[in-house]
Amino acid sequence: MRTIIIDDEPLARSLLEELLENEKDIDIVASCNDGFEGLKAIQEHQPDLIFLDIQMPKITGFELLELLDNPPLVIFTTAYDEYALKAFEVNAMDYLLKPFEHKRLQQALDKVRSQKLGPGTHHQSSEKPEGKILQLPEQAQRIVVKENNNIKIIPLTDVLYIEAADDYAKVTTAEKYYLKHQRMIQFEQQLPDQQFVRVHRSYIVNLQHIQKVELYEKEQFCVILRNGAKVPVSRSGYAKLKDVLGI
Amino acid sequence: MPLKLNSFSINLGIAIFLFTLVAGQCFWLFHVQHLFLVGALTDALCSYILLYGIFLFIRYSPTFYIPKYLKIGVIDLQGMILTIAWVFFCKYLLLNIFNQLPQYVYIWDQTLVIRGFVGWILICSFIAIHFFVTEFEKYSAVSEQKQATEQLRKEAELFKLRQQLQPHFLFNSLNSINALIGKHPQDARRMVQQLSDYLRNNMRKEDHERVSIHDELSDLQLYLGIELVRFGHRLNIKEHFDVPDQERLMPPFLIQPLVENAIKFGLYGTIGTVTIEIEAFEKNNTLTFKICNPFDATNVTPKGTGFGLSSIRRRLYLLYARNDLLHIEQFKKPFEASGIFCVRIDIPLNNTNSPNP
Repeated sequence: MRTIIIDDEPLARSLLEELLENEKDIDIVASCNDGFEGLKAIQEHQPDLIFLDIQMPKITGFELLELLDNPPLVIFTTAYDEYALKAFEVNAMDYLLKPFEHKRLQQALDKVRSQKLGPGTHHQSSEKPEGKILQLPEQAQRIVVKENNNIKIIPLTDVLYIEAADDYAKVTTAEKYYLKHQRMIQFEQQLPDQQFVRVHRSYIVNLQHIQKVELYEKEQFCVILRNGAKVPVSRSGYAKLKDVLGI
Repeated sequence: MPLKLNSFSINLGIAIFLFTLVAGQCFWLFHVQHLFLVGALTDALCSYILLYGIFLFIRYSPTFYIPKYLKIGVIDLQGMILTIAWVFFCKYLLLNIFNQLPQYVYIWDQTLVIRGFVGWILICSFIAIHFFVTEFEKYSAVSEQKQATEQLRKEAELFKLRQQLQPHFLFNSLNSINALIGKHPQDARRMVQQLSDYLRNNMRKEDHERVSIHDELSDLQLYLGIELVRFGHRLNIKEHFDVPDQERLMPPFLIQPLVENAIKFGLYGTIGTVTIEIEAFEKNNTLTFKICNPFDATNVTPKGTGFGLSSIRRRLYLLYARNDLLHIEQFKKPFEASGIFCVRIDIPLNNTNSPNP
């Protein structure tokens, strides 16, 4: 299995390399210091498995994962225990808490191997754990997108609205829009709900850019944004909007 | 304020007061106006039960207007209207009870004015009492809320302090030691020593006790040493300390969070080599500590990073009651993404605290 390690501490990487040395089926093709290097290496090597740290320079491990169209299997390695539920949500194979035992690593690899043999056994079989998913503070401030294979970080204040487009989402700013392979429900969970409201099945709108809410058909509302864009509002979306805006 | 107003005791007190008035009026009607006893008793009871009803209306009706500031005119007028309503309702009710008994009708005609006057005074006083009670309730609700927020704030602060021990720092350091054990056992051993010294010193420090500048700076060296083991590939640290008398005392937990903040900001906010510049000097009984880290203007860093600084500012305020001890500067050339972020704190050194003057 082609494997990439992404961690911003060289010692942590060398420890993993050392522990993986005896695993004959693991072939480490790259070892990266941050998400930027990681993205390049993933696109170049198309690995089967990545070991991913969460807290890294400029973009987090979760944000890197969001940028991948066909993400490989992921094992998170981190000292933060509070993001295990979020890792489960993004279908991570495992979540190793640093410092971890050799045996624990082997268990994680066994999961990966059985997944490789019979795909689908892991994802469906595991029941959803209880609890509130803790989002990273970074993601309440920004959206990370890919632009011509470069990583671009958009502050949330610049985002006008997000529109569903098949498997993608169009993150629209005043200048242009960016396509991101992410579901609306994930955006809805990550974005701060006092600033972003899902006004429609296919639209999430940034409240600070709303100029007015207008009636454009019988019982059908739409939102006019400061740049003139019109966004439809569903009936339940209108109720939510009224609630948040306090009208 | 220890005074506590209980709405039950207020109501009870007023009821007792009104019963005294019932007895008084009954006595007066019976003896002075020569009404028969049952008549006098019924009259007095009915009147004051109705009056009590009006009081309850004033106290509990949400529509009753409370003057913003106690205005005699408003209260008079409200009292007047309620009194007229009270007197006429009493009269109508009682006269019907006694089937327009001529003697009783005569007494009513005689006493109408005095009844009205007494009722007016009672109702006006009650409105005034009601006004003060309402104000007092509002006031105590506000102060209760204040106390609750104060309590919450304290709890949050404690939680924050506990967080300051930084479990992630600890676990990541242990992971690094784990990595070193295999190939560089000597380095591993040294790092175990650094980490335990650092943790022991940090735990021993008490929030309210001062420590010597020397201890504070050597703890800083321990911390920096650990961070260099973890991030040596991209972390550069330049130090310049010029403090001749390092035995002087300063409060703990001021320098440490500042350095943590700068390293976190620098390492996670940028890519590539990070140079942290640290400077400390003493002048005019003030220890100045300055730390600079690079930042990337294109980055959107979470607000959490500024939180460290605001807690230091708060701590400085609690220690010295001054808001001018923390300074933030940013240097950025136009058209360049990266800049330098500097924080400076001035710590007043107290002469009397020094054990070796």
